[in-house]
Amino acid sequence: MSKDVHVISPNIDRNKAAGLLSAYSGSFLPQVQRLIYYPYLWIHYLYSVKTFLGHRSIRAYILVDLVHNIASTADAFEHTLLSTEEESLIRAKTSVEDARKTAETYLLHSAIHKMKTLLLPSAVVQEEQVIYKPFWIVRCSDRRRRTFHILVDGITGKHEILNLQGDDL
Amino acid sequence: MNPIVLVFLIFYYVVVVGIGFWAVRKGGAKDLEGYLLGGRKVGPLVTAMTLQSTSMSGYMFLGAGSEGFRAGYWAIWYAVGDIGGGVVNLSIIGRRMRKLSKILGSLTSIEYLENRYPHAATRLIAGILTIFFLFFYVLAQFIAGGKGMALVTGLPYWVSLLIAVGIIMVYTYLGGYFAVAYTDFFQSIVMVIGVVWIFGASLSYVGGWTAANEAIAQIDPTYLSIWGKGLQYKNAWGEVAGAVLIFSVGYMGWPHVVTRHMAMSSPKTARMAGLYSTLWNLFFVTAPYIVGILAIIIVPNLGDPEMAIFEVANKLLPGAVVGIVMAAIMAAIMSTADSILLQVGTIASRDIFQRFFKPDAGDKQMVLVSRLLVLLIGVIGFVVALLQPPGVFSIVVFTTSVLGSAFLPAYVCAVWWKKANTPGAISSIIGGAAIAFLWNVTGAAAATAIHPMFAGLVVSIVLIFLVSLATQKSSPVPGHILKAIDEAAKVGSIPREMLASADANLSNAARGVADSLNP
Repeated sequence: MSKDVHVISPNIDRNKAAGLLSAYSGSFLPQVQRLIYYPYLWIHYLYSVKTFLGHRSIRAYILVDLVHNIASTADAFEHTLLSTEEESLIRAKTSVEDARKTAETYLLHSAIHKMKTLLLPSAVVQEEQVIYKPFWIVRCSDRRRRTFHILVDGITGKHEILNLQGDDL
Repeated sequence: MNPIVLVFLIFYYVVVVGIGFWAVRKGGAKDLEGYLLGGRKVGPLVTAMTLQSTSMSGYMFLGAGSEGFRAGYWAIWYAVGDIGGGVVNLSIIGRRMRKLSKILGSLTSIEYLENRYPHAATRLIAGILTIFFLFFYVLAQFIAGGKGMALVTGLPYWVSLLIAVGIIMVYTYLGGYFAVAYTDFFQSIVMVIGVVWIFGASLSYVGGWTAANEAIAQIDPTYLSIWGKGLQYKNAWGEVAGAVLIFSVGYMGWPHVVTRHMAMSSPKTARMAGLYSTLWNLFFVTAPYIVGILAIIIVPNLGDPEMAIFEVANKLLPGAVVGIVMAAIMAAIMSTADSILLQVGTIASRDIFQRFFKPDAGDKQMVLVSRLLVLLIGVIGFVVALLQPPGVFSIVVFTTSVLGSAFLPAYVCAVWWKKANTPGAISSIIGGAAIAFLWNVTGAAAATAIHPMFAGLVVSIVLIFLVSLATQKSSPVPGHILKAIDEAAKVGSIPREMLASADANLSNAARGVADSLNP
């Protein structure tokens, strides 16, 4: 069954995902298996701080992982509405309300440490959206038939080791 | 007061503020990511230089120089540990800790400890210990700032201290707008030039290394010994071990250093940062100790050993250079104090106040708690620094030995030993801190010829192993933590280069995908 969801516009296609991993030395063959979408709450804040030089405003983009309820800062990006099969969507386990609280806590922490100030900024939400981020699952195998899986970020092309138990997805 | 020094001191700050404004106008700091020192906007070399220079505190200019001046070549033991400290730390807790902290969703180093060793007591004890002992580290920056300001301006110490503490407090409250990577980088360049200049001028003044050693031998040949002046530490290997350990592994007890480790996204970044840091340390860490040793000849009648480097600079460098270098030193002191104060404020508000007193505390209350604690530290620090200022070297050694002894085994075992459990970690933290503290304050170090860092660390290591093994049945490590440790340690048949480039920021997505797809 298909579902309409907001997704971050991908930059990395299937071939590029395989190509990025092929660039690493080692005699293994990367084989892209499938594209999956991971759920996040994306919030665009406008932070305003009153200093002795007047008001300063800073944009902040927070992504909250809706599976683990863990936040991180992000860049600005465009998102589009996409109709996709439900089985390619990772199921969210965190409510939007809880994720919003996590985002606010993380935003304050980041603002204090990255801006190195103890001023209390006022944060105004500019945009909030549950979005899905594309990831490629790539199976790599070498001559001795040893296999491992890699998750490739469909936006940045960065990767992480994926601890999958089976080979067939 | 030398007016040329003062003019160039002011000139330096005008340039720094100007760079800050330029950076803001250029757009480098219009969003939160623009404030990332180690972010994508600056390369690894700039990042490493910026991180190293901002971690160079008043200790390097007052503490290191004073130890060289006081004990001669003995001081090099401390430099030896410091040179390799960055690489050692990154190698021991690097990749696994970054990944585990992401998987456990930890924002602060104290929160990470509680997530790995799950019990409220872990956070409470670690939080209070950290706040208490980091106060002394901030105190060292206050004293360094006050003494430096007094030398530059010619004002009395108490006035200079008041100004220095005032500037640090204002900088901490408002500093964000100028603390961008560009200003920190500029500051690091000035510091490098300044240290190179002081070092070169000192060597030139004494007629080279050989001539310097001959001149020092005329004063007291034991200055040239690795056992310290008067052979004070002869065959005291417990002291030597502590002196090397304190800045090689003791750093791992500093929450702001651990937090920095947690923030690095990939092993490749960490490896490059470690390489550049070591290159930087090879020169920058050693030079202040050596200038302190050369000061024995250059300023032999120095009353306060902590002023060795300042006085050498004042005597040998042109007024304009002294002004700029002094300003860079002051900026380094302010930057370090500001970072520690922010860490302490966060630990107080998030790890203590919100965790134990008001779980639903809002942003306003959290910031208020941080600000009040920072203010309290400022007031107490000023009073202590005014009435009975201890030596900067002693304070830093004291703080690092206690925090290092307390936390090092807990951090290392967190990723390398799955049996390390909560009772083991808590007893190690308390036992290590208590022994190092007592060793420092009771004079046990002198009586036993064993350094507080060495004594504290041995006790801390023994406790985490013994108590963890003894309590495996009553306090097993929870399954989700064992799984997370396995995940953090996973290497398998994956090529090294690919593993080194893996991005720990994607750990949670990888875990979520695996949990969803695995049967």
